[in-house]
Amino acid sequence: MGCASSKAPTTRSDIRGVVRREPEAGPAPVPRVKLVLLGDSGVGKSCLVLRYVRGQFDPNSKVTVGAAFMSHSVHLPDGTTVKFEIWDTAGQERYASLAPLYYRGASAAAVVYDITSKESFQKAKHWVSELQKNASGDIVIILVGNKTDLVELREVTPEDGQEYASRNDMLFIETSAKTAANVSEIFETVAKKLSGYQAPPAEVVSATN
Amino acid sequence: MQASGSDKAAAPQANRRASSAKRGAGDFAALLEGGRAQQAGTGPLKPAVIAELRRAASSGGRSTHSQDSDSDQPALQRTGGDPAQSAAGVSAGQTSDPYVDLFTSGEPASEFTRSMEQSGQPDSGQEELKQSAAPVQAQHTEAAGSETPSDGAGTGAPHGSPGAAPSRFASLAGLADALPAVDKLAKEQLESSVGPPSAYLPPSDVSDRAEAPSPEEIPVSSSALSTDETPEPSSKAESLSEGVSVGEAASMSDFEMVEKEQAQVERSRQTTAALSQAVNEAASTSGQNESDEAWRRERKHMFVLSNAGKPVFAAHGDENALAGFMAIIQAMMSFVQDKGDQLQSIRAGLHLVVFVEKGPFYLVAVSATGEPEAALKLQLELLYGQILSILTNGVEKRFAHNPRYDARGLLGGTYTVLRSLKDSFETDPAAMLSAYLPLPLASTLRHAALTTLQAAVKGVNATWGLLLAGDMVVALAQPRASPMHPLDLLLLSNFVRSTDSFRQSESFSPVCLPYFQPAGHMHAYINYLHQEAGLCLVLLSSQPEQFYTVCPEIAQAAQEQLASTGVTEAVAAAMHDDAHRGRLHIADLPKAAGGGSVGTTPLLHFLYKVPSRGQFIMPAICAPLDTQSARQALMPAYARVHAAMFRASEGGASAGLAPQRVHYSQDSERTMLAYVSPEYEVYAVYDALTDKQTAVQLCHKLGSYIKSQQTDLFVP
Repeated sequence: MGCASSKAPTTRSDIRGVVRREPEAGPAPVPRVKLVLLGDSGVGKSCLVLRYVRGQFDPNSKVTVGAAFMSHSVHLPDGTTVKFEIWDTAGQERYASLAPLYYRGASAAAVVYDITSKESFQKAKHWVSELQKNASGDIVIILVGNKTDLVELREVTPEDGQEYASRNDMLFIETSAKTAANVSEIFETVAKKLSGYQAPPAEVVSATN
Repeated sequence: MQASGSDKAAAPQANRRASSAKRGAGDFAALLEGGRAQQAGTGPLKPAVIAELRRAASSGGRSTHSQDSDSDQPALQRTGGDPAQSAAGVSAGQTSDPYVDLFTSGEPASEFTRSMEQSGQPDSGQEELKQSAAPVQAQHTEAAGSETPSDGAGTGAPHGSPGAAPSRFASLAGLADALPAVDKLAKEQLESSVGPPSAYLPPSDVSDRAEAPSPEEIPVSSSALSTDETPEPSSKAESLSEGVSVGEAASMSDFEMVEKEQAQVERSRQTTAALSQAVNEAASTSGQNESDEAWRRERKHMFVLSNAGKPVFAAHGDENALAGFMAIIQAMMSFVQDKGDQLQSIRAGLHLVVFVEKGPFYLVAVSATGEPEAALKLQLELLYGQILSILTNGVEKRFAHNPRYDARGLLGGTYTVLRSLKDSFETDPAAMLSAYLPLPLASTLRHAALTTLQAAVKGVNATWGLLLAGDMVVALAQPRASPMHPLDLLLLSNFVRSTDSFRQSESFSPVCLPYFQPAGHMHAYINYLHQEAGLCLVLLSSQPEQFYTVCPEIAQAAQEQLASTGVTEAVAAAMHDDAHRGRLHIADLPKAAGGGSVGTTPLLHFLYKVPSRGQFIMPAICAPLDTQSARQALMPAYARVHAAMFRASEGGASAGLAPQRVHYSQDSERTMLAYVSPEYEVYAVYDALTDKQTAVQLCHKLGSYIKSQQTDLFVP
């Protein structure tokens, strides 16, 4: 109820994992969605977030230590707004045991791999199975193949990604933080799915191609 | 370092060798001697190096296979080189003597390392051998004596016995030869293709300081001396059976080993395999280490490797390309260690090489900065502490599980943290003083900052809270019962400061405070409230639950409060001044307290520590100390004074000697005065012409001025 807005109260109540805040905080409290980014180190998780939140791309971006926290609001086509609380986790091995701290209570997870690295795709599968085992049952997972700008070095085909995503009931998208291709679509797709906005699977697929 | 005759003779060769600069292994000699290494061989350089490495590597693991004495003999003769020189080179801790003698006398002793560890019987034969090394010990004593920091005077240039070390290293290499843990085939192949293996042997004096387990040992303050001459019963004991086993070693074979040795054997095999791998890596990557020349010119190197010889970290250069170099370090350290002893330091020319063993790691510093051994040891310990702050000591379990574990994967992305720590030692005496540097701030503002910080700590149920500005502390909230250890604060501050990803957005990170609890980690929340000023809020909690959800909001509130009370502005203004970055200016101090612009006051720099607060202050470096060489000389000068004053208390068993309370020294560069009392410690640098009376007077006045200003200068 705290997150109800005058516009579409029914769809809003569908949003899972919403953190309800004091209603007096603003005229139209925005539902918050916790989204966690997981994936091997160096696949570009931070680059995706920084591209999305700040519109920046730094080719020499720094290795993330621990987890970075950022928030950003998405305006959906139906006029609703969702505030993402984005947890950009470090991909290093040493942080693996801490991941539950970050994905606990998350309503969405973006599992990122690098399309030029089969190994990172394997790692992504590992994260997916960990999420399926340990995260809340209704978590929305989106599989993200990043670095489409390096298509000539591609090792993981879009079909592989799509096939794996479909099999595990996940969303799928291929992006490039460098060219900004499909970056905001990650968050919009997730927001739509969360808010019950019926996005036919076909639409998601079309976003990847 | 005095050059021996052979050094000089070898110089042209050494120069040529240095210029070729593409080997992993020769680095050690060249590093130690600035390229003035002895080159005995004329064979192809790289294979020689590889062979050398293999030999060195083989000494790392305990010998597990016996080998034909025939095949060993030639190698021994080669490594032995000039017999006279060899004899002169023997300069080791008591436990090292036997092996040196064995090898100078050319006996193969493939089994003796192992048997030494097992038996505990005295050996008269060994005693005899030991005597033959007597003159050498005398030399060594001399050399070790020069190692003690000379008060105030320039870097204690060693007057060690020239020509001693090459043969010592020859002995080491020879030893490695005779400990045939490396697979024989490869070795034979290599030997057939390479020249004499002494290519990397550094001409230098060597001092081993041993920590003998024996209760009879009498440690003295300059312990480098003590252990050389202290007989160690167990090592002698081992030698008796040794006398027998040495002769027969060649015919001993695997199946003769008793069962309980098998674990050792396995470990040894693993070590050997790891080393071979490291050596192979080195061989394959040594060509990549293009910057060898520049690398050698670095004033201070620090290396971290696993005790199986795997590279973990190198402050300069690429760890992978340095794998061979690290293998040599491993060989040296584990060789001495296998004898129940520990390699402490080596003095070579201007370079001091200090070895520290911590958990599964070997840490080594190679320094030409003139810092004393105690300072370098502390720095290495802090480097280890920083690794723990990232990994916790859980990393030790990984190594216990798998000695060949590669820690580089775990440390991924944190080399900037380790490098930054290493760099901070050059400019920051915080480690030496075990205290932190507060940002000078008007007491009303400080109070506002502290109130805000305490509210934030309370709000998120944190244990500790810090407000940092660059490398200085603006405010610190800590429970009375468990104040933060100054070295933990130093490591935490460095970790936060040197991790760039924290600047991009507010972050959470696990961090271990090794002096508080090395086994576990805290959850840290890091938020840069003001980027340009480097004003950073750090909250530490052991309970993650609430912490992760409330921190962002609390930080937001704190940020607003600090801005509204003017703290942010004041800090930004202080930090804005590029030259001083928030530090005091000597020019701004009152004249009576030694202040004044350049040339009007003899006071150049000072450190003032208040032990009860765990804080110290120091002014910004300004003319005439702002040249590169003067900057570089400053901290080592402080370190020498500090070491001289505290040597007695750091000597462990030799405690009882009170540390010096006053220290005055003068050389062509500077006059230094230090005064230590329970209430405060002052270390002051004056210009070289300052007389003692002026120095003391100014020191007093400075002290009372700082006392009068302490509410602004120190964090409450």
